[in-house]
Amino acid sequence: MIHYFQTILNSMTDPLFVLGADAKISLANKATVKLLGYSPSELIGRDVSLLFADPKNVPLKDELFLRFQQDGLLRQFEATWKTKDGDTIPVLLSCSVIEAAAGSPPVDDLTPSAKLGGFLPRRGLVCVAKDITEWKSAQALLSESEERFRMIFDMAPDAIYMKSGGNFTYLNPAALKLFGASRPEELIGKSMWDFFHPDSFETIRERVKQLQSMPGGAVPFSEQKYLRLDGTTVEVETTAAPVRFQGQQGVVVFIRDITERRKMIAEMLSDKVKLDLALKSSGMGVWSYELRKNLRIFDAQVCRILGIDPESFHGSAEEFINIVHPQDRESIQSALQQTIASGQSYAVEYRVVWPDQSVHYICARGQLVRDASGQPVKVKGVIWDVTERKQAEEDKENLQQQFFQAQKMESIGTLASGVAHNFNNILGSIRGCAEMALDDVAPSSRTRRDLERIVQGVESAQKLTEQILSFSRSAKQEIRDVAIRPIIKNAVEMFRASLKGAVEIRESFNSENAVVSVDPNQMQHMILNILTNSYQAIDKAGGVIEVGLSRMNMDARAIARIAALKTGEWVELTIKDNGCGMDSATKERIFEPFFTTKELGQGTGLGLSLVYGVITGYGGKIIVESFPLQGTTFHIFLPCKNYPL
Amino acid sequence: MPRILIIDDDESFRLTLQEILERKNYTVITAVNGAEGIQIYRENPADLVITDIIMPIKGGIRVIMDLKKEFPGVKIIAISGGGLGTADEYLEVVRILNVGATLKKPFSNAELLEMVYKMVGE
Repeated sequence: MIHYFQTILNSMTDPLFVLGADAKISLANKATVKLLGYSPSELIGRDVSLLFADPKNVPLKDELFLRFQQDGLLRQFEATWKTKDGDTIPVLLSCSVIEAAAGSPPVDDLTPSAKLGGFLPRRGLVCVAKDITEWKSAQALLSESEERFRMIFDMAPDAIYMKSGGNFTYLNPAALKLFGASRPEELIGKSMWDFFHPDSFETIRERVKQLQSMPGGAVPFSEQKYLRLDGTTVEVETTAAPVRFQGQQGVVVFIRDITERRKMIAEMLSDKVKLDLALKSSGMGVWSYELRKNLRIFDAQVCRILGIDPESFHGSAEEFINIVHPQDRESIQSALQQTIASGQSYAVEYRVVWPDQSVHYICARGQLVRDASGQPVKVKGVIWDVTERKQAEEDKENLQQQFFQAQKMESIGTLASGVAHNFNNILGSIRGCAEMALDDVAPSSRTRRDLERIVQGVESAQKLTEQILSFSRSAKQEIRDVAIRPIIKNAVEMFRASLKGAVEIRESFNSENAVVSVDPNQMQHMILNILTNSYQAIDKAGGVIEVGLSRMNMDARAIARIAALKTGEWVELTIKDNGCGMDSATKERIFEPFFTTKELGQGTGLGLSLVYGVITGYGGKIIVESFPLQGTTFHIFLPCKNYPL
Repeated sequence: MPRILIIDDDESFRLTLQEILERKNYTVITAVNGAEGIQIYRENPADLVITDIIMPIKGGIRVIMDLKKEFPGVKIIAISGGGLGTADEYLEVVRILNVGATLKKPFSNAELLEMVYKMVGE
C-alpha cells in the first residue's frame, strides 16, 4: 500500500509536498526534490519558508494557513520558489487541507515515514506546485504586446474609446481631446448617451442594434454629431466593433473629427458651384485634350459654342480640325504643340464653321497638365464665343472707314465747288478772247485752227466743271419713288445699243416690285457710268458684263458684312465684269474725285466719285469687289419698299 | 449807241466781256461789285445791265431785286459760273425773278451778242 502510494507521488511531474500543522515539511515527492535541488533529507522537517524566495509574502504560515484550517477549501496562489542553488522559479501553488480520518491509527503507526521520504501528519496542508516559468514569460510577452497596442492607441491621431454597458471604459488621448477632457477620469464610467447629439440618437441606436446582431463584425463608417464636455457639437465619422475588454463585453469605437473636412468640402462645393456659375454665366465651356489618347473631351457648353452635336462627336483630332476655319487650322495646331513642348499657356483665337456654314469666332485659353513624373498628359482649358465682339470691332472699323471716306468726300466737294466757280470765270475770259481773236483772223490761217482748239478745250473744261459741281451734290435732284427695275432695264438697253455687240451683257433681274427713292435720270446716268467703267476694264475678247438685281433682307449678319446699313428691306444692284480688275491700292481710291486710271485727257476721274456721292445721297451704299485679272463687281445697295400692286 | 453796265468781280472776265461788247460798238461801263453797280446805275442809268450772281459785298440776285424795285423797266442779263450750286440753280432763281435773260458761264461770244442784240438792238 505504501509502495503503491509512493509510486504515485513520485511519478507526478508537478512537485507535491505536505506540511504539518507546524508548517514544517513532512513529505515531498521526487519532482519537488528535483525542482529545488535539495535532497529529501534536507527538506523533511524544515520550515516551509525554506522554499520561498520571499517567505514574508507567503501566506502559508499565517492567516491563510489558518483559513485553510477553517474551511479546508482549495486555495491557489502564485509564489516564487528559491532552489538550493539560489535560482528563482515562479510557481502556482494549489493547496488543500489534509486530515487523517477519525479513528485511523496515528501517523507514526501508519507510516514508517522513511519509506515515503517523510511522514504524514494527522492534520496538515497538501500542496501541489506548478512551474509557471513559461506561462510567466508568455504573460510578460502578452503584457509587452498590450503595451505596444496601448501605445498605438495612445498615439493614434483618431479618437478611440471603448464602452461597455453604455459607459466609457477607455479613451485614448485623441478621444479625450475630442471630448474636451484633460483626464480619463472625467469620462470613464460616464454614460455615452450624454455625449451623443440628439440628432444622432436614432443612428446610434440603430448601430448598437447592428453591433449586437453581428458579433465579430464592425459597423461601417457613418457620420454623427457628438457633444463635448462644454456642450459644443463636434461632427464625427465613426466605426465600431464589439470587443471583450477587462473581462466584459464592450464596443471599441473609432472616431474621426470631420469638422474641418466638412468645412473644406463645403468650401470646395461652394467653390465648385461658384465656378460652375461663373462658367455658365460667362458662356465658357471646359475642354481637355488628352495627349496619349489624342482625344478631345468637350463639355456640353463647348459643343454648343463649336456647333458640334455631342451625340456624334467622338473627340478625334480630325473631327475637331474639320470644323476649324481652314485659315486658322495651322495656327492653333502650332500653338497647341508649343504649349505641349514648352508648357507655356495656350491662348488662341480662331474661327469655326458651323454645319449651317455660319462662322463663329472663338477665344481659347488652356494650360498644360503634367503627371507626377512631369510628363505632359493633357492640355485643359476653356473657350468662349467672341463673334459679337469681333463683329462689333469690324463694324466699328467699317464705320470709321466710311466716316473718313465721307469726310474726305465732303471736303473735296466743298473745294470742288469753289474751284468750279473760279474756273468758269477763267474759262469765260479765255473763251471770250479766243472767239474775239477768231473774228480777226482769216478763215484759212493756222492761227484760226489754234484758236478753235482753244475754244474746244474750253468746252471740255466747261463740262468738267459742271461735273465737279454735280459732285458737290448741289445738283438739283428730283427724287421720287420709282420702280427700280425699268430704270436699270432702260440703262442696259441704251448701253447695249451703243456697244454694237462688242461685249455680252447678261441680265438677271428678280426684283419685280421693288420701289426706291431716286432721281430716275440721275440713277440711269449712274448705271451708265458704271457700265462704261466695266466696259473700259474689258480689254479682251469674250468680255461679259453681268447685271443683277435682287431683293435682300438685311439681317444682322449681312449688315456685319456690308456694314452701316439699317436693318430692313434692301435691293442690291450688281454690275460685274470679267475685265482686268484692280489691285487693292486702286480699289481704295476709285471713288475719289479726279482719281483715274485712264490716260491723261481720256477720263475726268469724276464718274465714280459722282456715283458714290449720288448713291450715298439716296441713303444707299456702293462697294466694290475686285482683284487684278479677276474682274470687278460693283454692289449698289438701296433701301426699298414694295410697289403697290 | 446803247449803254451797257457790266457788274462782275472777276477782273479778267469783266475786261473780256467789255472788249467783246465794245468791239460791237456798244458803250460799256463796269462795276466790280453789286453795290458799286447800283450806285453807277443810279447816277447814269444804262440800257442794259449784265451782272454776275456770286460777288462780294452785294450779290447779283440782290442787285437784280434792288434795280427791279427802283427801276421797273430795267433790262438785265444774269450770268453765272456756279458757286455752291451749279450755274443753272442760280440762274433758275433769276428766271423766277423774271428779269429778262440768263447765260451760263462760259458762254460763246455769239450767244452773248445775240442776246444783247435782242434786248437793246445794235
